[in-house]
Amino acid sequence: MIEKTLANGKKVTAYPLSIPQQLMFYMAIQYGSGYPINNIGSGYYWKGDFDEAVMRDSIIEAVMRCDTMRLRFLPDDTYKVVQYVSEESELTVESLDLSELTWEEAEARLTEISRGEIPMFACELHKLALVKLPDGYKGIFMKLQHLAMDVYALKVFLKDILELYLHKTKGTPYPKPMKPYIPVLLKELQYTDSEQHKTDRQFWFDSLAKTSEPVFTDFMLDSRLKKQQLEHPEHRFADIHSGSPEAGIIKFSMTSEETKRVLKACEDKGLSVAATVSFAMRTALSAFNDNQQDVSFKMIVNRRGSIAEKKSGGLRLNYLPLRTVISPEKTFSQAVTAVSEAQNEMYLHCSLSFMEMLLLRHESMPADAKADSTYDSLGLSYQPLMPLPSINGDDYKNVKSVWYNNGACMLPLYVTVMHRAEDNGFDFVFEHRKDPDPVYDLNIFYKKVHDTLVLCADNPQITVGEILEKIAVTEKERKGKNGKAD
Amino acid sequence: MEKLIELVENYVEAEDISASSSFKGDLGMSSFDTMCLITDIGVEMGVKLKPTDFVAHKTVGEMADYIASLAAVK
Repeated sequence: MIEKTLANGKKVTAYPLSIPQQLMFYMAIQYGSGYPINNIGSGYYWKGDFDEAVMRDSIIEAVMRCDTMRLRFLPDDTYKVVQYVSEESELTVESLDLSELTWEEAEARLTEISRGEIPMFACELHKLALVKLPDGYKGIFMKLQHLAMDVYALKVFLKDILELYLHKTKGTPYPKPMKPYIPVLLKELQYTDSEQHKTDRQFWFDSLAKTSEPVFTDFMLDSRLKKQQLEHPEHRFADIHSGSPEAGIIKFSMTSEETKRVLKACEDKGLSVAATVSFAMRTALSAFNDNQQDVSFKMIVNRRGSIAEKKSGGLRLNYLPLRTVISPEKTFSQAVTAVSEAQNEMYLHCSLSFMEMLLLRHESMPADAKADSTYDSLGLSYQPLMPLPSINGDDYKNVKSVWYNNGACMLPLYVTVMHRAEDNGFDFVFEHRKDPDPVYDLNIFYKKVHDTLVLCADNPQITVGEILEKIAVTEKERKGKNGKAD
Repeated sequence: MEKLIELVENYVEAEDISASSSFKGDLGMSSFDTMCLITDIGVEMGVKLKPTDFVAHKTVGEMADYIASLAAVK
């Protein structure tokens, strides 16, 4: 605990940054203000009117209920940056009328706002607005500072706003309280001195430093590892982190009907949906890389188990290396079970810092591996549906949930799989670095992911080998990459 | 049983957790939630569970009985 005196003379108790916050903070410094990697821009819109004054009151009340919507940072000589929860909020809910614009113009405007710099030591870190959009859509836009809120925290906060609004307008039950942030933060800060840290470190040492060397599998059709192997045939790691974090976004949507079939197959077979999505991702990577059985990528984990962790806001993400070796005779069910078992073991040890894991991994890498040499071409985050209360009473038919590209990406490819509010269908959001240009490759890659899921939903006894035969990359697909399509 | 329910209450805002409550179906616990609960059970009840134990013992009552049997063996 650090006692700080604010400019107005008020004394506050401040705390160091947690490990996830430190990682984001240093990445932001590394990329510079031109790449606002710590901005999360999002919007939740619906068709129809609502009481704007009551919605503003609901937002302000939700801010007072959520500690990290009032989180502030201060410079510190020892820790560089410390944080405290302000008892007050000066946040004002703005109004934005974009209804006369086209959808593309409105999206461009909100993306521009999402990328605006958030000064680290600002009084108010977050920006919220009531927005009017084309075609009668209205709703809430949020630009949040990632050091204070991650996507899970954003969704819980949004749910709280909507429940407060419905309580005020329709007399529905007052929502249960949020949880305080500081006790959860203190548990995080005490982790590195705990027995759990020793246990986790041993697990990751055994997994990363003591095991056989993995092999990089690329989402690009022209594997960057193969290119590097022309000069270094012994390499199994790849160097893929370009200098610029400039990023684009592509979204692919699986139909509601197809998603239902996948979810039913998971339910019938008792399979984890998260593991099934991971399985589809690794199968596509395998197909892109000569049916490689040994596939690695990063799982981005929310690390929110207890109610206190779920409802206290903050940033709790961690990046865990998931490696699975699955032979082609395994059935879909057997393979997903293997993935699930690997994920569960990771979850038990998910709090070790990403930097410590990186150092452990590098202990066993060849001597010529660079600091950012990797076996992982992508990161995957699966976000289960968090049902939000309906404001317009039409069961989500006319609801839009939008994420605005902040223009920067820490990983070459960051895949977020989530469910659409309006029909529960899967959306696959591919946030990708622009150099090298992966757009063509990602269209093919998504097709392999999609086809894997549909094949398995329709025939859970299918084997991995049979799936790989059916989703094999064709010559036409490869030729199309180089502009030589038939 | 009471201790296990007390630990489960850290993960679920359910009104009524009983022996027949299933972790996944009734209580809506995810894989991640159950892994965190495994850690808590280890610390608070001194019993080391495996992730597959939640496949074999799907309800609070079944898991309480299993934990008791492991504790009796120790």
